[in-house]
Amino acid sequence: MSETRILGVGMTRFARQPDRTPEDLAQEAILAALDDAGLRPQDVEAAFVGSAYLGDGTGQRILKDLGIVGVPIVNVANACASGGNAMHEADMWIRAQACEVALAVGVESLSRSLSGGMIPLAEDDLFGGLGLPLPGVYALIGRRYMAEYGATPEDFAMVTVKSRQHAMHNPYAMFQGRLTTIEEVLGSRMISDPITKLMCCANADGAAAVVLGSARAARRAGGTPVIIAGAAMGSGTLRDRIEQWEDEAAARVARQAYEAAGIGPEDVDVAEIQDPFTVAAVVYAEALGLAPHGEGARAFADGRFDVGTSGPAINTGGGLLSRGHPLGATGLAQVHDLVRQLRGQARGNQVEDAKVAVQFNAGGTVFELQSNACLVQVLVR
Amino acid sequence: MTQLGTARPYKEGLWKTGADGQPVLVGSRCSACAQVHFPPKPICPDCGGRNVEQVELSRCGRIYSFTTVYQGPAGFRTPYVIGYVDLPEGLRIFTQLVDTQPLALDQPVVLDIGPVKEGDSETEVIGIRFRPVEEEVAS
Repeated sequence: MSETRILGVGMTRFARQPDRTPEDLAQEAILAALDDAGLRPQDVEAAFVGSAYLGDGTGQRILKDLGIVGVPIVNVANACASGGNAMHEADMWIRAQACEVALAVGVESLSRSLSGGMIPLAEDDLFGGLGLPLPGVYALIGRRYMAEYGATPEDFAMVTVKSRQHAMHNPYAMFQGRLTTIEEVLGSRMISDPITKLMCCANADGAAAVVLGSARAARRAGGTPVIIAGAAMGSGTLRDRIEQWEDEAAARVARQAYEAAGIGPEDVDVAEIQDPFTVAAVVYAEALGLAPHGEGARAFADGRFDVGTSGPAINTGGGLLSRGHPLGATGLAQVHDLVRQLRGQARGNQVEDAKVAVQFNAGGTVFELQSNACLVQVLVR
Repeated sequence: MTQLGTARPYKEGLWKTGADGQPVLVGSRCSACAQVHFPPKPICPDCGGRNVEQVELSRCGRIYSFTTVYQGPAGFRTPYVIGYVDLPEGLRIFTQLVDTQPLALDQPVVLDIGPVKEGDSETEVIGIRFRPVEEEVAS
């Protein structure tokens, strides 16, 4: 089975932009990705559109105005992994030779879908009904992590500090040009201790798109495309049992993706890791094998994941923490940033000679499981 | 203890009144592989066995982790404390924690079903809570 190529990427700026419709945002990202691929809307043979909140018919509403009609249009809703999930579907269709060129889109307008504040859980949810807010999920992990590994709130604050430094070079990031300090992060409003406001990502509106193609489509397009060397997707297992509680889903799916790619974490030059809260960046960096278990917090604090160091650079565009988090769009913004790194097009924060990239996109709302969906893609050039 | 007549559980089927008249959490146990789960499952999620029985869970456990919530969902009066409690059955239960001064990891706690959020004037919404105890007592 032949590997899928990434022919083009595009995204909008991530910000609060309530004046723009989801259709408008998504169309901008799609046209940017098609231009990047040197293709026309008419070349798209199947489309996969991810969003957490926009509902039935989202893809059709977006695509009809661009003339992407008549072809299969699949809507994907899988919480914060909707975008990555849409791309994974496109990848599968191409590998199954069901089409040669596929479009993956991720879009969200949280300004329009939520009245503001935090992502809500259902009132009769086992966890939400007792008052679990999403930051609390990671606050509970962070508290235990600090006790077991000697990490400090300062370590978790440094993840935000580093994220803002990386976002200095990302014109699409909500918090570009907003450098911060440990003192400012720790001094911001406490949300769920040890997580403060500046250790949380911000709701945003935006879209991102990726054009995928078969080897043959890539030859027609010319150039040297980025290749999806390995990809895997899974969901979390029940975690009411103590022995099954540790977040094994991310590590399990990462192992499958590395194995499919024939590449290990030690080969990774640049990574995009889902970091809705700073604690998440730490535990998922460990799950992906980019830091030993229990050392992730120190690794971030010591700058081992900064651009320009020997370690793999993590979240070079600022991650969710500084890019902003339009749920369905995030997974494809991660791919956008990694593809630009692998092509040597990451202005200002280029990882030197980046050849291997890994993406971790995940989403959770059903907390009896470790995650609703998690997805790892290994990209190479 | 809250007057159960005016109280509404936030979710049905999580606890019942034990032989001693006090609430107790309810789990399910597979008659084939003996694995216990909470909340109760319609079949065994581990071996697929169709024969599961309801079992009463221990009232005492230890705190695995906790956090004080300062910004919560609508209807919850902040600050309040949530956490995970480990039970002797090998289960990790998500819960609210009350009477929490002071609080520490691995501290013994006991089940205390009671109000978890602001209800309307007629009914009180009750749910799973644990509170610290000096020593683990037999449940």
